[in-house]
Amino acid sequence: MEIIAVILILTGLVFDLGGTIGILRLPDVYTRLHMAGKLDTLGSLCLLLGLAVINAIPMGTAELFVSGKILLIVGLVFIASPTATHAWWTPVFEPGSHRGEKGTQGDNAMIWEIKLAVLFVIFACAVAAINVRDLLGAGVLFGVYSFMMCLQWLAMGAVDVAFTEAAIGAGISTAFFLAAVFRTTRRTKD
Amino acid sequence: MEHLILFTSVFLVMLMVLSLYRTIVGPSTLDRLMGMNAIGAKTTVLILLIGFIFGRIDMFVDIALSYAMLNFIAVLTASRYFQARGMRKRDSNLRVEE
Repeated sequence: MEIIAVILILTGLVFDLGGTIGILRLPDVYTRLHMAGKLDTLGSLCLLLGLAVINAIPMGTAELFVSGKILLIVGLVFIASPTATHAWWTPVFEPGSHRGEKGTQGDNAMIWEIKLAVLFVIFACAVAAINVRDLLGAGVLFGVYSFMMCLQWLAMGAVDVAFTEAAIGAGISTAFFLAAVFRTTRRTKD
Repeated sequence: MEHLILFTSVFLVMLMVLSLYRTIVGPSTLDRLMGMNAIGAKTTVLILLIGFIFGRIDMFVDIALSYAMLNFIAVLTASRYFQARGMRKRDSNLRVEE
């Protein structure tokens, strides 16, 4: 069982790495969308399945229940991610909008690497959200910032705060920002 | 097994940093959204990994579930913006033709 889980996780990491390299290196939007839609989805699926297998190893009722929930996430990602990519893909072909281009429990000591790395991402997001000229881009970056804050709360063990951050900060605020940009104008005055 | 989970987490955060480059630099907004979606997908996995490190996976799995749904909603809202803008542009084109 453990070997299956390890193989699944490593496969997922390889796919995610490929997807990220593709998003970074490919020349235009269409090919990059292809990468984001396919490899990222498959990578996440493999990782989540591997975690579900690890979790199900003790074979208790509670563990199997939690693994079932992880499988629910797998289903959600499997449906949601390609749908989202497709929903972007359609407007790209709309006339007029075509723009071709060229540890163990309670042991917090082993989690500090994650905290440090996430803190770096938070800092980069915050600076970028202030500096970006495009208001829609700033809204998107602020959404990423909220995601990262949520992760940082989780790494600190404040699960309830993280839950609120995910719901209010990442979900609703981003939707409101995008709606506000849609109702007004997209460029900043200054 | 703990080492594998820690290694996976750090590796995922590294990939997030790489995706963040695409989110910040662009060049089009679609690229930014794509980077955001990639980061969101990796975050869902990372929440579960942190849950394993804390040994409270039963609590973290609910957060990961709601998180995946919220990420989906945010992305769909953004794509609705694109769709509406594309239609508006087409309308203005028609008006010019008239």
